Amino acid sequence: MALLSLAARSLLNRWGTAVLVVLSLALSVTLLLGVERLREQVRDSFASTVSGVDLIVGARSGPLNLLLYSVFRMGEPTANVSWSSVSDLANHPSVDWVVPLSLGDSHRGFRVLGTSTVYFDRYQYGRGQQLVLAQGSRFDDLFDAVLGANVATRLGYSIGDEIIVAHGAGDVSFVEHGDKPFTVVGILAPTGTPVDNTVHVSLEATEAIHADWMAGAPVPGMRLTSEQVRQRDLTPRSVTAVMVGLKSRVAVFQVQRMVNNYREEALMAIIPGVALHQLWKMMAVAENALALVAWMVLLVALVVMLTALLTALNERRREMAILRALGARSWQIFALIIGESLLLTLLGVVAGVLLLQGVSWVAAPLVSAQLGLALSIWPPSAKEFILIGIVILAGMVAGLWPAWRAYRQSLADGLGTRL
Amino acid sequence: MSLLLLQDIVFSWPKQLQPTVQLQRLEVAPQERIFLRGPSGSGKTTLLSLMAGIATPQHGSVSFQNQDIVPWSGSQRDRWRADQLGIVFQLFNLLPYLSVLDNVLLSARFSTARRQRAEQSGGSARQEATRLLSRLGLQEALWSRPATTLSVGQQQRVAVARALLGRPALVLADEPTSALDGDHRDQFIQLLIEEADAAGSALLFVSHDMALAKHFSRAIDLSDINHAQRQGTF
Repeated sequence: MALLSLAARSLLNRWGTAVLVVLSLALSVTLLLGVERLREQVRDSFASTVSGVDLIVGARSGPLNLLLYSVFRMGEPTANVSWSSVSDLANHPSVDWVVPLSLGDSHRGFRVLGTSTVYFDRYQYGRGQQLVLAQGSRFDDLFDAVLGANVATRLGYSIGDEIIVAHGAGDVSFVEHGDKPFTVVGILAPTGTPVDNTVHVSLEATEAIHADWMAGAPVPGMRLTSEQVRQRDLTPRSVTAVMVGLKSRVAVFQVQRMVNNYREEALMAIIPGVALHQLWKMMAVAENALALVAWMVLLVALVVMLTALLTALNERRREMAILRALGARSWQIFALIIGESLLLTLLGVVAGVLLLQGVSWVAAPLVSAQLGLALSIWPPSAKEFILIGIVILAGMVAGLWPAWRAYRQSLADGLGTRL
Repeated sequence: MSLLLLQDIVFSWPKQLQPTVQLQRLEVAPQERIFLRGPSGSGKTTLLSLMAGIATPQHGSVSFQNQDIVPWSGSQRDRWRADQLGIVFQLFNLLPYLSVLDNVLLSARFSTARRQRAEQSGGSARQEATRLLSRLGLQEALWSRPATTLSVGQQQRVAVARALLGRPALVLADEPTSALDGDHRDQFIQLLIEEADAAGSALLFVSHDMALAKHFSRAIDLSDINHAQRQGTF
């Protein structure tokens, strides 16, 4: 105890260097734990983006592409699925339900999804959690819209507000469906998935706003008002993708094969869990590189500490000689230096964890808004505790060298000062 | 009976071919005042290391109250040193990050025996430390100051207070006055001897300045007793 207080006061006397060492350790701990936290939670968040859906069907492209645009609302669909194929799929004896998805429009950077009300019953995320309306109701009228939680909070919408949908998926669009405004009727509770960043409208509404369009542009001279368009047949000609639920999961490969070999149209079916796993494996390279960099930074921080301890050792020869003369045992000299490295590492870890909490606290809403991923801040995972343990151990091991040198020095110097 | 007796000592530092100290006999009686003259390079610091049990001779015995400390383990000698010895260096005796009072109390921190003896004479180790500081002419205003803010003369007196706290059997002083001017030097030695008397400690005072020998009951010239060839910095 007395020894630890000596170590602390000696360190306090050299606080300038100590602060820098603690800072470098803290930053490296923040990075190490941050990378770990991010990859853990991104992985969890990824895996739980969609559940309860047995197959996703879209135009034939790559499985990852289909997954990205249908679930993550990223990228562009290559082609559509015709409505007759959707009907065929829905009538298949193994199929329990289908949820058509129609993408291609946006509202101030948020994707607009045309779908059926079945979507709200069937879409599940996490461990089978269902979508819940925080306010209002599902869409009922043609020009009703249900907003994801982020869309409502970021753009400050509430029930009854009117919004205008723009053509195209980009942040900035020059062509707006200004003549056919939507009314916000419902706002979903936050899910931590891309649903939060989505504007949901009915499939018919997607058809309706494009009724006077052809080949991706308004038909010149043809203007249909909201009232006129209600009179038309609004059965969609095609959709972007279809989520499929089966009566029995046993049939999943059979139905997948059936879709992949469908003769009428070039289609593809993916199993969401498998595709998510593939996507994650692709990202594992980047993820591992990030982790490697974090470990390197820790190594650098430990070298900084080692440098500081070894440099201080020469200045502290005098201190050691005094302590030895007072009857300090050689192991106490050893412990004094180890204690110092332990103290520095502990301070670094505490500061690093606090810093990470601060960064997470600031970053969580941004990540959620940008990527639709939920970052939880507390409690730290078991893995993080293991990492912290490794860091403390590494700090002590790094302290062994200067401690050993101080020990040898104190034996060799005797009462001599050699100054 | 002798307090400390060195016999037939041969000592050389690691990686050195020639012994640094080679002497037949050096005896310190209880409460004796010895002046040891040793110019630099005469092996005086090495001799002090041997007497303090920090270094052990390759040959010969170092007996404290008829007990040879050479075969003891390192930590046994460390404990013995903490209990029985007070050491004053030439310079830089104090830990810069402790207050004057805490520097004095370090002796009691490393030795239970010293703390108990300090408690016997002063009530508590702290009271005994402040008593010694006052006796050595250091006013209360200085006690809580960082040790390094004191003048060299004041620092040396703090070092004496620390060496004497808990009445050690032997005080080793390695040129403690070399940084002081003439008047202060004699004054300092007077104080040191008075306090060693009060504590009942033997005193071995090392200096190259023969003029100081007059304060002591016995003077020894290290070059007379150390038969090792003079070389190096010791």
